[in-house]
Amino acid sequence: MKLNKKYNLFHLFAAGILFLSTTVNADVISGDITFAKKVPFAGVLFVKQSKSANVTASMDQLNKQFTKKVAMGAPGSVVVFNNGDTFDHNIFANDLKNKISFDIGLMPSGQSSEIKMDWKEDTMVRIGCKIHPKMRSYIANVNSDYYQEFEFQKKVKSYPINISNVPADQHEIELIIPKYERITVSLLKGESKTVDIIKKGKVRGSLIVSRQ
Amino acid sequence: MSKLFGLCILCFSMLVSAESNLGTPDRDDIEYPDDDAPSQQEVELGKILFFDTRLSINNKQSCATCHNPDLGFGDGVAAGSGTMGGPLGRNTPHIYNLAWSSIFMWDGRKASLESQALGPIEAAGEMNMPLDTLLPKLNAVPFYQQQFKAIYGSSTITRENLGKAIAAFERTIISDNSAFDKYIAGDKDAMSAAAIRGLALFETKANCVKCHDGANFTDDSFHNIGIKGSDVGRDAIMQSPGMKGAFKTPGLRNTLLTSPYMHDGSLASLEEVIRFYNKGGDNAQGRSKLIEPLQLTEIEIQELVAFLGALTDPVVIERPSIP
Repeated sequence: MKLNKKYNLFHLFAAGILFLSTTVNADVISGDITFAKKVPFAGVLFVKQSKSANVTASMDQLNKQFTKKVAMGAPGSVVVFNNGDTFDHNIFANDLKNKISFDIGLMPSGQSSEIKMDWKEDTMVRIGCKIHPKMRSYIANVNSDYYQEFEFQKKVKSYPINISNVPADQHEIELIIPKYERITVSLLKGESKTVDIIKKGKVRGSLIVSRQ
Repeated sequence: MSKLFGLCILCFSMLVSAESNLGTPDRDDIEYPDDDAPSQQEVELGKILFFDTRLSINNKQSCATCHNPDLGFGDGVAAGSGTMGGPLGRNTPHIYNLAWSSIFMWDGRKASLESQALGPIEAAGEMNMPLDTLLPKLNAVPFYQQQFKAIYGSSTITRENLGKAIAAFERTIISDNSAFDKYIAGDKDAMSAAAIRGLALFETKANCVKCHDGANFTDDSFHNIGIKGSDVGRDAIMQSPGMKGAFKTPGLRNTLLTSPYMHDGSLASLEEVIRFYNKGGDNAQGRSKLIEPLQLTEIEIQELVAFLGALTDPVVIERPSIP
């Protein structure tokens, strides 16, 4: 296919401008989450934003387990459950504290189902299976396009943080780990902060975040 | 030739073990309520409470009456009796390796070991002891006052701390050094040839691992295996398709010691259990599609029994003196 030379040059110029502006205005958040002893199950770190995020969550099942420990979705979007397992499942949530309750019913092998995330923003809701109680995962209903999901492993204490392309005018960073105290940090470019991670009044680890 | 055959069996069983996650439970994987393992003092307190008949309304039964350490932490009968002499509705489940369990009781009505520990105490048909009556009774014992003060910071015994103490002890009832554990750790002589063949059957033809998987040989899930009867099981707690007549898969560690079997105690021996599954269960309503005739031969039935016997590692508990 042969394109007009003028057209190509214009788009190259526009793309360059866009790249430059993105590079100039976008930050990178890095750092580390470290736990002293016991490591939790999952968490999310995200940059809070005012405009609506464009993230959809999906969660599959395999070998009587969810395939992910956490899945992020924007408020108002749908979370898709796919049963790729050879077993039937019945996914449900019953979070009395956040008043989040749903039951998608029996989902035979190979079937899918959707649930609209119309509950409170910035929550992590635990989901399970009525047939297989050991199954657990979390759906994070978070309004952010700039985030990192953490699937913590029992024998790994430290987890690197890397969230790129963060708009320069968005400063609030939040860490949600179920059963732990929620952490919110305001972070400007060039800053670095360390915050204790607390559960039941005890320091369980630390969050170190830097912004470049 | 026979060595080659044995090697093939060994390699095969190792391979399928990886798929069904059979193995030795990892003590580092225990999820304690407050993250940290309980102190030895808390465990000892829980043990004394476990054996204390004060926990029943007429001082006749302790937890250990039904969960008798000398009878595989069961009571050896199909359905035992409550402290008032009435029959219990179901077979007493064993309590081995509950430290790794995510849900408790045959019907899963308790979500934590702490709440499970209090359930039979309060149940009218079991120990029949309202906690409002029990707590002052325990608070009147100086030993308990001192211990609760030292461990929980308050000499007033609460419902929460009573559950914590008993659960702390129960989490130490761990069986993880059976012949099977030694075998998968590399001691090829730890299990007999029959048991090794039984392991292979357990994971393949007999289909046992569809439910009895993982390090404790349970998926902690609920299945209607086709036992005849009117007990709706899980369905009374959480309605969901397939839950009528479904009961929690019991772990199989020390299963040789925990007869009789099934939620109603209707099968007296492991051989009867395997014959039950071999015929595809009873023709009971709502039976899971996982239960179907197995076409096991007589020798294969005995090999499965041999393998289940290789899961034996008794937990010896010295009975404490009661204050």
